[in-house]
Amino acid sequence: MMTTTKKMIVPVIGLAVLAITGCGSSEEEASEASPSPSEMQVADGHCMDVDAAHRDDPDSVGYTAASVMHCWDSTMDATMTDAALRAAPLMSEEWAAQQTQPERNAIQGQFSAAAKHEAYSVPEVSRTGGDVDQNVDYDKVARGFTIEWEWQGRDGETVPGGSAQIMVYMEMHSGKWEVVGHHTTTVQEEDR
Amino acid sequence: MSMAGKAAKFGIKAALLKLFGPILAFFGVALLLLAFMLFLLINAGLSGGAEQAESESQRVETAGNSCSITSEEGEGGDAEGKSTSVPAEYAEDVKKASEEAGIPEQIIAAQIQQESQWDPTAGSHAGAQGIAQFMPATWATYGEGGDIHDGHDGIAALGRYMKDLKGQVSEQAGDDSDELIRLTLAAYNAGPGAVHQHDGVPPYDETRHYVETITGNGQTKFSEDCSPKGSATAWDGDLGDGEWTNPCPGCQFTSGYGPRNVPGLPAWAQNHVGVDLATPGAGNSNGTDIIAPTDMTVVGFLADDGCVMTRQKEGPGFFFAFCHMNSNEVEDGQELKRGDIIGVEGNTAGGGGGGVATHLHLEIYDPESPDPPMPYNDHNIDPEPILKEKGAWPE
Repeated sequence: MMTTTKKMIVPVIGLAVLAITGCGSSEEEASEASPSPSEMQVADGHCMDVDAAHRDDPDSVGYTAASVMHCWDSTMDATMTDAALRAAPLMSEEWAAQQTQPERNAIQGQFSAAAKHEAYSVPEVSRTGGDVDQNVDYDKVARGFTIEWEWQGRDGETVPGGSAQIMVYMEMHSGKWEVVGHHTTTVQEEDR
Repeated sequence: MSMAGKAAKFGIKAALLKLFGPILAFFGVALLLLAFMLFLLINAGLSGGAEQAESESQRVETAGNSCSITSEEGEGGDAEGKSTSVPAEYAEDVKKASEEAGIPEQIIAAQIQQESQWDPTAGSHAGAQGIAQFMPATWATYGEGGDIHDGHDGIAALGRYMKDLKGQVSEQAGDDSDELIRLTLAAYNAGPGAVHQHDGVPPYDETRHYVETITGNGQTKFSEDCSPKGSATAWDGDLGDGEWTNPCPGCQFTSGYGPRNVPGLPAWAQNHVGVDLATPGAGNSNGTDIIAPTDMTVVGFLADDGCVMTRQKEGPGFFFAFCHMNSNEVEDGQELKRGDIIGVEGNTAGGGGGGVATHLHLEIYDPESPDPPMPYNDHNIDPEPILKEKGAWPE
């Protein structure tokens, strides 16, 4: 199946996943005390779930990976790469092993501004126009995605985010598409 | 002549003198005043020219290392917010840190923007603090007893730290000063050990992004009047005088330049050596007119992909390729003026229409490129920072 997914808003999907998995109101009611950091869910569970990807559809796999890789929690993530590591289940073993955290966050200023509101990023993913998509072979494709995000503070405030374009390279092995490479081609941060 | 004649002649002279004397005197004084004013004007002009020449000399001189940056109280920030200014209170600190580290001022400024957005109270989940986001252990070495939350102390420490890192990666950079800046920034983000391990910028997406963002912002946000610095483009020469025109009016930037030579990427992964600009909503229909961004000469065509190749007439003599056009209105050898129509944005690729969504794929090649240039000929340079610097980037 080679469907084209256009501009889906991740939080909606995240909420849908929450509803399906039952991770919703009952848990909130069960515990009124603030959870400890180890108990906290990244972005309070609003990030897209890697299991939501249809592994027989490279568009879905690429879309999900792009979304997960840009869903950060300023209260939990030290670098941008933390999110890439969460997308590792969609990657080949070799590519997952390549995901190395640098010592510092490349968009630290943005994370710090977000941290003041205990914010998490809310990514919106769409397909990149132009000729970036390539069907190289029956088991090799490249897909371009454009991601725009803003930060949602847990205090209700929003913080400006940015946008990025990434290329996601995928191969099919044993009937499943997996990410064998990704490459951020451009990142722009909104002026504050 | 008789006395009477002489007296008569004298009388006439006296009468004439009485009549025209004041007029002559008036014109004489006026002439003197005019000459004096002319002298003042010339003197002022020469003086002003000398000041301007001196100012230009200073700008050119500093451009060799640091370029000029703009503070919020200075010139340069435009009303549309295209450029980011250094907060006035930190302008002198940035200058001193630049001198300490031997790193261009606009790089230091872009780095602080990236690290904390100039917020001296910034903190991070990982424990980094202050305007330059120092970890406490690093601050203990480079802070020199200052206050980590004091912006002035933080920028000074950044200068010392960058100087140290620069020294640690200088061997990897060799004689390439741009590479030295790239590696120093990579060392700041990933650690000097990672730079040593990979003998260059580590193949971490995040680190590569950090380096490209700092060098790119250093050029486009903090020094729009300067030549490219760092590695925002492989072209490190003069871009020539004057502004260019947006080659794809009304278009949006949809895809950037980037050789995909990232270690670990599969060999089949494509290489995109141009920028894509597209009319929003054009789909597979004809888009907008494609415009010559500067004066250029048509040097070739690549019909299968709807490309027109040109060469810039003035320095530095870049080559261009305008691709995927559905039609063109130029002939080989035709000289184009800035603003002339080259063709129509389209989706011609692989010998036909419909191969791609409608957009302009724009490539720029260095002046040493074969003539005519062909796409992906290893002489490509990133068009984005060049178009930005020349004021021709889509809004």
